[in-house]
Amino acid sequence: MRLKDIKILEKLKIGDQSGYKDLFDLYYIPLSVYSLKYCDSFDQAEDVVQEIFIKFWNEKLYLKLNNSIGPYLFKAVKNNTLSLLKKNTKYCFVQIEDQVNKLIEDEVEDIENIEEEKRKLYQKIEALPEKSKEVFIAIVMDNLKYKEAAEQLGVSVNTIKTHYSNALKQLRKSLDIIIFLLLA
Amino acid sequence: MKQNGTYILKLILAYASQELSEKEFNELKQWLNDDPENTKLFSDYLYLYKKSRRIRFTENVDSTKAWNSIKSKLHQDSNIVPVSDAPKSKLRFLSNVSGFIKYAAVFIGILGIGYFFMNQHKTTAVTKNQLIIGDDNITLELENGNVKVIQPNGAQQSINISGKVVAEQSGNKLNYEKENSAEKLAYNILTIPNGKKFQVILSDGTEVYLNSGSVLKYPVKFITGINRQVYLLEGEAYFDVTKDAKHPFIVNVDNMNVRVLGTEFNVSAYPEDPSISTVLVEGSVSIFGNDKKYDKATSLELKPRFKASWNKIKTNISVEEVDTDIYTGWKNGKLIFKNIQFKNIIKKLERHYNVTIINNNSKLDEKNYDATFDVETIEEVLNSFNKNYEIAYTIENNKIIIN
Repeated sequence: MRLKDIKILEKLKIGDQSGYKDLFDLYYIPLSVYSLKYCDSFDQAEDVVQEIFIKFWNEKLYLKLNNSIGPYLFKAVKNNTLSLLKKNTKYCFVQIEDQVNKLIEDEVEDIENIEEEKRKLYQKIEALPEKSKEVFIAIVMDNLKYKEAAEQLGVSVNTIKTHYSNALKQLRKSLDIIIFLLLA
Repeated sequence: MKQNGTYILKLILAYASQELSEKEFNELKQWLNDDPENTKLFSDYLYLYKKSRRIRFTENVDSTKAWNSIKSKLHQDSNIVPVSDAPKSKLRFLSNVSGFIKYAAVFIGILGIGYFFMNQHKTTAVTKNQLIIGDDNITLELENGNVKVIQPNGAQQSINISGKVVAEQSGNKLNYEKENSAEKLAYNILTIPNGKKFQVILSDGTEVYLNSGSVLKYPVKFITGINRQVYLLEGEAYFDVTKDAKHPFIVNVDNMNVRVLGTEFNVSAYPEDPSISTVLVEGSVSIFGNDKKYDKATSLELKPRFKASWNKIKTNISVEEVDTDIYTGWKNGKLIFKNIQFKNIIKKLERHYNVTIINNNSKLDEKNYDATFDVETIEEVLNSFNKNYEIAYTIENNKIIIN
């Protein structure tokens, strides 16, 4: 990333605007994913990152940077996401969140890595019992609230919760393996 | 998961999506403080949740749209990159030839899920005005966290834990071994979904009937010298407790305990009801808060044919004489409503029949009704409400709509 950062900065400083597009291609998705880790909202994550990109250009912030852009952007995304969160989150176990976020942080940024994980997870989701799979997809993948999922699938909220618990319980068994591999 | 397994898990999930109440948050906090192991468990679930969300997110991100949105907000003097230069989303165009093979599995996975949803929609379209009743599984969570599906009409099966048979299931009944040599308390959790009922016979011979939408946690084997304690985490159960004067039988429900030596009684603790009701059929039971130890002087002793209503919020009790059949009829397949608010009748019908009912006529919600059903189908029940109370309904997309 460092080398790419330097090239982008060079372009930006001499007024070559294609550098800004390169910056977007390189960082937009990783930054959005990073923001999501803290805020758990697809829309908010993208909003935060877009705002930072806009500010970066409009206020010519690249003029202040010398060797790298990545660390600056990631830090900005984290700060802005967290300050947004303070307004919206009612209940938070700070220590656990920090610990879990740290665990996730160390393996991101690499798109191939995400693809590989995705493949593994899909295999496991496919192996779930039919109802649990249905509910897991609705809640986690399609981002529905319990109530919406209950309506969509034509069952009660309680049924949704039970299936969701069951799905997670089952996935948890393979989660241990994932964590083990990542820490190894 | 040592304590209140399924319930705690539900709280963690509600936390992950920020859909929990202050009370639930505090319960979660308490649970975390109870055992350092719990923090690890909590982290694991949170980790998995965030991870799945991320994967879905990366699939959803539309970077072309994002790029256009950003570009429209940049200052005018920055006339950069024409629109036609569509950005390459690294994620989407990653596949080269070898990549294609490598990731083929991903797409099969996605197709599988897509097909599943298409299938769903097709079914609902064809049968727009018919109800399809879902068939959810009864599940049994073993002490090691494994979950077993119980098929009430399936073949007889044994529940084994580390090679030892601890219970036998046949039909609608799960029977725990009395000759189990266990020396430590180990819990199983039985979850009965909507639309189903089930019976479990505990290791002391106590018979428990579980109503639809109920969760019961109990030891695989009661241990000599320790109270026989079980947890009704949700729903309704009828207990026929085997007499054992040396080992009181305690049912913990929410923040209330029912203590008995040997007797028959019904406990109902559905979320929509403001109070937990305990109806005594015969014998005697004592009711006390779970924040204190049993003390004869401060507990309420209930007489046969009386009902105790424990208000979940105020934690006070009121007692009245009742017709016990109204409260225990469900055990024999009856559905009895006596002076029940319509909105609660809906919840009970949804649970009994495993259907979804949407009431658009909010004026009905607070009105009270009487009704008794046993062998009727849900359609027959609705027709009877229509005939007696002029409540009309339609069926759309597998949901019952009341207007």
